[in-house]
Amino acid sequence: MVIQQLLNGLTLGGIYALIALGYTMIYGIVKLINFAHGDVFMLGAFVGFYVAVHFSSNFIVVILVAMAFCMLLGLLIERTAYRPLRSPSASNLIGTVIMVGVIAAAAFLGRNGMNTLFTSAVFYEGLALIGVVIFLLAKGKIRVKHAGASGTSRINALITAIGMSIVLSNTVAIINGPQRVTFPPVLELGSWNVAGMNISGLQLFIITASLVLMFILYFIVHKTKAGMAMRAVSQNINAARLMGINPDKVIGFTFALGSALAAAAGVLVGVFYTVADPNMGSMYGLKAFVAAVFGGIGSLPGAMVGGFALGVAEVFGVAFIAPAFRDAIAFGILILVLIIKPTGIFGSNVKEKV
Amino acid sequence: MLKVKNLKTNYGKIQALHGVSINVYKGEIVTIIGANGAGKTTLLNTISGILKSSAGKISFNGTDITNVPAEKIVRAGLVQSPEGRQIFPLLNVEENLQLGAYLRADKERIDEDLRRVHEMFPRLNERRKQLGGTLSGGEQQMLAIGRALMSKPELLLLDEPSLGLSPIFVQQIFEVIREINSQGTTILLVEQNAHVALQTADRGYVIATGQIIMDDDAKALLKHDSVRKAYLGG
Repeated sequence: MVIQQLLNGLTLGGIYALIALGYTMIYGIVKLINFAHGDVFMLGAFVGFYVAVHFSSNFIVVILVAMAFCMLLGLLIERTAYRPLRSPSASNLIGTVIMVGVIAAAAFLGRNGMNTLFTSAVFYEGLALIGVVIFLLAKGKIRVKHAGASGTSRINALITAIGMSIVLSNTVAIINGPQRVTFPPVLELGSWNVAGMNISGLQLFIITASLVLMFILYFIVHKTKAGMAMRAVSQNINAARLMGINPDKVIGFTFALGSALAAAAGVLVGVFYTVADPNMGSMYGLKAFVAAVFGGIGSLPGAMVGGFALGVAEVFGVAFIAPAFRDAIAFGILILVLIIKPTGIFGSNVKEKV
Repeated sequence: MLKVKNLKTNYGKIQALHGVSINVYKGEIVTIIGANGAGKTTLLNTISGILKSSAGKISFNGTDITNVPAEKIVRAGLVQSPEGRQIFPLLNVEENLQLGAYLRADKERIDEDLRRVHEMFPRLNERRKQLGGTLSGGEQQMLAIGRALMSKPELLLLDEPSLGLSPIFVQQIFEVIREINSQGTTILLVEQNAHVALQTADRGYVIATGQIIMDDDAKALLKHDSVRKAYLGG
């Protein structure tokens, strides 16, 4: 019974860990809690679902397409939502305006279908408005102002992240409808009965896959030039620039990596629990965030250990205390960590330099 | 090689540089001395592209590099070893040095330069696998200079290399600076320690409240009355 639950816990924990890595990487490099990260995970599940239903039921294809899609999405979110806050230039803001237009058009299309788009007045009004704004930005008629002190701009980024989260989940809700979708079986691995326990091949696969992805990430961060640049930017951004490192590129790379891992987690959840819904991002996202804090935000091993620990704790709580405690356990852990060791397991005390 | 003309830089509404002009010619060691808050670091950071200037012009080897982003300026061969060393504390010594060569792809030359840095600072070779943050101040300064050399600079900007170092280390560091210069790298050196800076340099500028108030041969500045009074302790 305990071992059976441990297996369940590690499966869930592997998923939390994959999502938590994204939180922790992005925090490590731009000091931003990217609350849209859970929704990138949700989109990964949905892209996987659409690929599986419409194109290919090959698991490898499904997961790779979802990861590639979310990589681009992560880059796009960084480029259009967060970068303009760091360096508010007209060209950066034009990207943001175009992104807003594309999201609005996608939502409109999802709701009303292709035929109505070009015949509706709203479409042309929107297009005209976007055109005017871009024109004014390009001509310098709209002046952009920097938030100034880093404290203010960090809060701006945090609010933007929450906004981005709402935009993503609602766009999917409009296009797909708010109901959940059922994943087709793209990966069937059977199960074995060992000593009275039911060991599912899928669970073993998920645990292995998450460990493999973590190992790949660890390799990228510690053994490649790009990974070294990531660590350099997270430790001292100005010194990194003096080495010729372009921080914007490194930050984009970090978002792409984190989003790909979240997408993989999304597909794994879809395959294992067989459902996906537009709001799943918030709960998984919050719990993975708890896992990242538990392990020590900013620390990669912390996110991995925190994810697995939280998964196991949650499943044990459900099995041995009461199912209703499922969510309470994760957030109870968050409260305890914040009281006892706010820096988490692997976190170190950060000295604020004067 | 480096021409700075009438450069102005602001922090918000406060103006830190009030029209600074300096020249650095190939092969020289030029020093800028001045008190705390005179604008020395601001000047270097504006040249390096970390700060944006509000007016004036910077050109390097005939190309205009005013307000070009820092990461592109490094590519042109203008490299800064920043004030307070700013090494990467959680990377080891070797990784810090490799980051200096971030923009380079010629692996053999990089290894060659790594050997050269190790010859110059044998201590860095001994501590290859140690984290940058655990080094002593002097070792960190060696690492910062070594890291800058790994970028293969034509012009090396050094910001306060003597800061916080014991007199013995200061002597060592300045010997190395002369050695780097004799191997063909032009050097622009910013220092509060005016005495050792002027002894090392060919020419010097004196900066006060964001303006150049004097420039001359380093030897002449060493003997100059007002320089002696203000910066050399009488």
